[in-house]
Amino acid sequence: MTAVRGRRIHLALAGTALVLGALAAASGEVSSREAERHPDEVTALELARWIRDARPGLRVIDLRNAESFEAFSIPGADRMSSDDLVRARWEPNATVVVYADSALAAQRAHETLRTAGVRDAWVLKGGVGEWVNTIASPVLPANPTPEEAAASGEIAEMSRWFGGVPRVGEPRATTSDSLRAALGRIRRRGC
Amino acid sequence: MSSDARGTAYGSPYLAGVGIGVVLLVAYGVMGHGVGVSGALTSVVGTAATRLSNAPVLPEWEGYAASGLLGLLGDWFVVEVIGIALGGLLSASLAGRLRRDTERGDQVSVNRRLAFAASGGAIMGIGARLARGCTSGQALTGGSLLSVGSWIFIAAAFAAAYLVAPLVRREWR
Amino acid sequence: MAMIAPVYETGALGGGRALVVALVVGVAFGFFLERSGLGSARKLSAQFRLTDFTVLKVMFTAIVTASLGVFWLSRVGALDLSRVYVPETYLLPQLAGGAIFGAGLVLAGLCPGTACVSAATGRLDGVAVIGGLLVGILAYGAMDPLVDRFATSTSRGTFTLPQLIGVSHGVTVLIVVILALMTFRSAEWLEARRAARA
Repeated sequence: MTAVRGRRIHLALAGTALVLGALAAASGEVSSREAERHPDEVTALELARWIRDARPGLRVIDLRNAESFEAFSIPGADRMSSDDLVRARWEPNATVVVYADSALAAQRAHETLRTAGVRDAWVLKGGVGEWVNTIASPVLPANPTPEEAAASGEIAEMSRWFGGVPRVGEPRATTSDSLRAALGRIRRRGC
Repeated sequence: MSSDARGTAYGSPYLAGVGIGVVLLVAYGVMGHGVGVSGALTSVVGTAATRLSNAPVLPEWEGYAASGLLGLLGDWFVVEVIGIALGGLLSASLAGRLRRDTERGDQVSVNRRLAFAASGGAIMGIGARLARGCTSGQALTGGSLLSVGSWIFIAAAFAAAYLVAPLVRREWR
Repeated sequence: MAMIAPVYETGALGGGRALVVALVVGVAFGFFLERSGLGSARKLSAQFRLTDFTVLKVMFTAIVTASLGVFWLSRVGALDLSRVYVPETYLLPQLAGGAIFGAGLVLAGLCPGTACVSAATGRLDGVAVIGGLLVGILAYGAMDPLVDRFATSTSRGTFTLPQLIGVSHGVTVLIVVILALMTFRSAEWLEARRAARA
């Protein structure tokens, strides 16, 4: 690349960045729907409530591999492969919640359920990771505001109901070593 | 300097930056997270430490201890770091920059340079664990995702580097 | 519009395909690092002797590119930003850790990523940096119970610049772009002045 052409390319890049940046500033936020959920997504806390309240017809389906399922799974979940799911038969009043390794797989499973006629089909928002962060091993704020305290209260109570260990701030957890290792692998994200 | 003593000229840093930016976007889009190097190295250390101590898991390595060597290869960041080495190898061989060497100032011995490299590395290791990331995980990933802590990391790292730099000047003379 | 990205949700454990992505991402990353010359400790450390600004150029161009990309991909609905992991903020540990890291960086002349590149291209000092990193990480593990209180202090969770400054995401991105371009301009000017003197 010659020096002149190089300079032109760099200036073009700079100009593009400036234009895109200016347009971004004009746009403001990314989306007014930032906090919006997909329809048919259930949060970990909601699922926890359903399980604890023994919602009739509730089925929780884990689509991950056997090893992951053995290491940790949501209480009461059944493990199925995507092939099993296609061939499964469901009760008429079934509420089926699916989670998988990838959001894409979970969404595909959701479509499979809908095609099979399950009216109450859900995807667990955030997958098993969100369950771990909310129920199995939640970290509660050390100095909560009144709103946070109310939410924390329910989360702590729910977590303990499931045998989880809510932690305040980030002290050492005291669950079993192997469970901690499994949870740690799921919870650790990024470098 | 715009090129290695032998080999072809280096590419444009701006274009390389765009390339890395796109790589970051691919990571965000496919994996939902960015890149990282110190985390992978921590996994290696954590796995080795856990195995050697025969404890099921050591609390300080929580989240970083895999089930042995094979388990390490299932760690996304470990595979990514192997890729970084391969990518560097590829680029260097295409540009004729592959050679066994110890880069150092003309007046500096190999041992001296290696001592600085190793101690600098050890200090970085401690800093990266404390900050939960290095230039890849914090500066590039956290920086582009506008995390306040990551930008604090960038500012602190550059400030400290410039403050310490005069002490190291003669290593490259 | 359906948001398709990110495709994967769970953490570091990946299925086979996620690992292929890891390899591709890594190879591309390492390739660009080496191509720009950052696999050379001499060149990288020159940033801190103020004679070569490649580190600044590569790093901030990458940050600008990725932050613009994140904004626009989210804006058009192709990326669900709420599902992308943003590193959490720990004010004091990241300040202290950053400073310690920076000191080590200028001593070593390479950062962890570039050390991998350097080592892969045959440089023994790159290997030494990696060895040092492993020792440092091990040492931190040993001192972890002592520093744990500090290391987990001043947590702010997911805390972004727009939240801190109180402006929109888009305005923040524009600020980052402008600051980066200004930095590049200064860098080019400093380099040109140095070349003119030589």
